[in-house]
Amino acid sequence: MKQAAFLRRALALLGHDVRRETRQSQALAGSLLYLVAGVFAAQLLLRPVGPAAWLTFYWLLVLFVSIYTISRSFLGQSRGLHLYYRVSVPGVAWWLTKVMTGTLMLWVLMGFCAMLMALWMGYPIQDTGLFLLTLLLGAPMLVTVLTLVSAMSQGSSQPAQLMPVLGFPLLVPGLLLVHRISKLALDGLSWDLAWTYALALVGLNLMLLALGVLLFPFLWRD
Amino acid sequence: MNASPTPKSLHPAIQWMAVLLLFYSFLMGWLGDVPRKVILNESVRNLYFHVPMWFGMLLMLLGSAVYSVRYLLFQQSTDDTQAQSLGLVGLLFGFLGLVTGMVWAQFTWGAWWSGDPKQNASAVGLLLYLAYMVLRSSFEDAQRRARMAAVYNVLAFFCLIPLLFILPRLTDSLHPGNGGNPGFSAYDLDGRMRWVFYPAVLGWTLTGWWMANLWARYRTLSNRAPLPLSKS
Repeated sequence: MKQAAFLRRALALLGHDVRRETRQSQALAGSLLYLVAGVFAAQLLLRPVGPAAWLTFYWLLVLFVSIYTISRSFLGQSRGLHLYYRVSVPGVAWWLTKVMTGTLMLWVLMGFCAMLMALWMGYPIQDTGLFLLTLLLGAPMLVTVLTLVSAMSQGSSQPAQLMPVLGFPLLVPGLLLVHRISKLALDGLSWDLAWTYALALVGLNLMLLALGVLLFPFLWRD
Repeated sequence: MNASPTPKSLHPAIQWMAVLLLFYSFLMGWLGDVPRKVILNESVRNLYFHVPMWFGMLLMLLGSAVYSVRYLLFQQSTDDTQAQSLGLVGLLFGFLGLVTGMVWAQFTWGAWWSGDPKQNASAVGLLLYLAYMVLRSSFEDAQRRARMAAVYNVLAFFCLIPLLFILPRLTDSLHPGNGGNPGFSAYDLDGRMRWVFYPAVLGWTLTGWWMANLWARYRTLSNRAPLPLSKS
């Protein structure tokens, strides 16, 4: 009974956060425009583009757009709204909600970025299934780290500069794994090797999620 | 603001032990007998200087993370100062480890930097803790700074583990102990080296602990002293 009530509340919270994001649709539109401008500039500069360069550019752009998008999850919030959430929602529930909303948004952005690049720069990926698996597992990795970093840098004297400085080194292990798997997808190699990396990535995601459960209430406290 | 207590100074026995162990490891490290190996030659002595840096760094950073957890649990500003000092000494050890490794790589691999997974991982590790220092410097409020820094420190330590221990194993590396290269367990079989290596590790660790302790005491006292231009 208690679990059911908790689940209902968590779903309500998720629904609320997703609705908030879609209502303030200019924010998500900003991220989409970021991608359009980025890919368009790149296809003018990188011509002709090799498969390895395509993949590297894809992940760099996804990294930048995710920093841009996730940084809004706390930095853009007004003081009053922040206070309201803090008294009405427990930290852990808020953490899980933020991760889920962020992951959903990042999946949209990653897919959009791949489509734009396929349109303007060609589509060198040979194993689309494996590539989709990379996106599926890569998004929570980016979101967990960046949400924590965004919550950490709010209230500092230069939050916008702090995001990349703190985020890049923390994201390196995950990005290395993601890049390895998608390189295999690019070359269309067998999934045997990919499973090892994918499992490592799942492990990393679970570790980050658990760390967030433990650490987020301290960031939330204010 | 009430003054926080100064951390206790390290017991003199530990200080003397650190000095003696380092003296012994330097003496035996330069003059002791080492096995003759092709390519490695005398550079095998780097085991006494380079590897203890990494052991020392990891222990310092582990200690720093433990103090950060303690800070989150009990909110004592001394714990925050200890975490910062241990982090600084860990950063110093990491930097020295990278430099000693690069000198060794120049003579054995033929290049200062060859993008080896171990080299990359340690460079990112240094970035992680440099970012920790940047994070500390960008908060005005001391309590908020301590809390954010503690959270970041724990996160950074957990991200360092896959970086140093798991990812290098997924790729080929030239580093001893990886990809079929003889690790230090192979040299370990040569008992003579073990008798210098372990004391060196212990000596550097104790020295690092001592340095962090001095730094923490200095920080606590200088925070307490009024600044020359501030109104008292």
